[in-house]
Amino acid sequence: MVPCIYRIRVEDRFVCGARPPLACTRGVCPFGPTFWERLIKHDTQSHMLWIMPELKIIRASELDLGSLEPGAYIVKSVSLSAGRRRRCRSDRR
Amino acid sequence: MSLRQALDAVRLLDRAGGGEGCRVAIIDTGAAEDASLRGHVNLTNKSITDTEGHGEYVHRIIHRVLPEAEIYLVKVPNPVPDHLFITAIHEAMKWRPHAVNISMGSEMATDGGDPVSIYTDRLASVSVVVCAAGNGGPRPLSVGSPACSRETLAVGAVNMKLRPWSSSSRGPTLDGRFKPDIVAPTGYYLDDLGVRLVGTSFSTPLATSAAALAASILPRPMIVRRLLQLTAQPIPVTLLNLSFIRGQTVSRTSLHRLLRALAFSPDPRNIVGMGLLNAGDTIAEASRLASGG
Repeated sequence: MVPCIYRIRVEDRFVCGARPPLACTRGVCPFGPTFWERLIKHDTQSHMLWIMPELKIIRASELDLGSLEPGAYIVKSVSLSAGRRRRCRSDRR
Repeated sequence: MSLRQALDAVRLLDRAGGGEGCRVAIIDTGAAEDASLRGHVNLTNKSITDTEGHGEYVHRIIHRVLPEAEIYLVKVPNPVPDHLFITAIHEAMKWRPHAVNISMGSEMATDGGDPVSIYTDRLASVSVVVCAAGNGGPRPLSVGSPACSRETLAVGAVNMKLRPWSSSSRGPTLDGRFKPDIVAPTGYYLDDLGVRLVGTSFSTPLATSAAALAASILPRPMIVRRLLQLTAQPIPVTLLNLSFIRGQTVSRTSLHRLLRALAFSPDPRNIVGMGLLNAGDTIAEASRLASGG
């Protein structure tokens, strides 16, 4: 399963980073209920968050949903890697 | 399959051995010791030489296909945090390369609104940015940034028989766009080293080489990216395995399975994009457009 880059944990609830401060729910998800069901099955959280579109990086603990500018959205900070390869069936033979 | 056969499959063999005047930038884990490098920026505290067994091969492939090309490298750690990767993109942009090879990525689903995708789109306005789709397949939504950004060319992989490679990442993006854009062979051997290179990371340099050749003829990155897509050779994809339906009577269980399979049946464009890279036609078409034909 694939984690969503917009599913942000704030204390004990999940917020949709694409539509803050709305909660991450089936009805709110901008990508539709089918994608939402797939995306929430596996989730990873990041210690750092990007406030977009101003491209400001903050610690997750510093996030203040009330102070966001209109039109702002929140994205998890991610790491990019090289050479990660999932094993496929033919490899296991 | 050797690199030579892979180049032949994508019709790049007759174009290989040149590349004079082409500028190619690589953002990766390092360089090969014995291949030439015109310039580099090191964003790690280690030597520029690759120790991860990744960037070295990407560099070697591009050097073998385009031995006369000017190759530039931005070395980044593995894994690399996104803010450092954005710095790498800035550094690569300074050389104004014809093509940029990015064989790194995240596997987090995105719609192109994340910072790495946004900066990669800016880079795509000056260079053809060729990104590995990733090795997160066969699950859908596994193309992460920067491959899922709007203006980059995401390259998936086909195996040695030119059939879709099962672990090649699949689209769509979160906002429903088709990815990858094209596919290129993987699983070929670097002849003298005896190393088999598997993964979309090593199908990407083939597309980057073709993109650099085309962009050196026609310096319009957006048009070259589109040419690479439009000239690709279609690949047949078997979408549904219906072997579980046997005989004339369809049982209730089989029907249920069929309906489930149909619901998640992927579009072929989310597996192989527009098809197999066809470097010969791309370069010919770029030449025709450049000459005003």
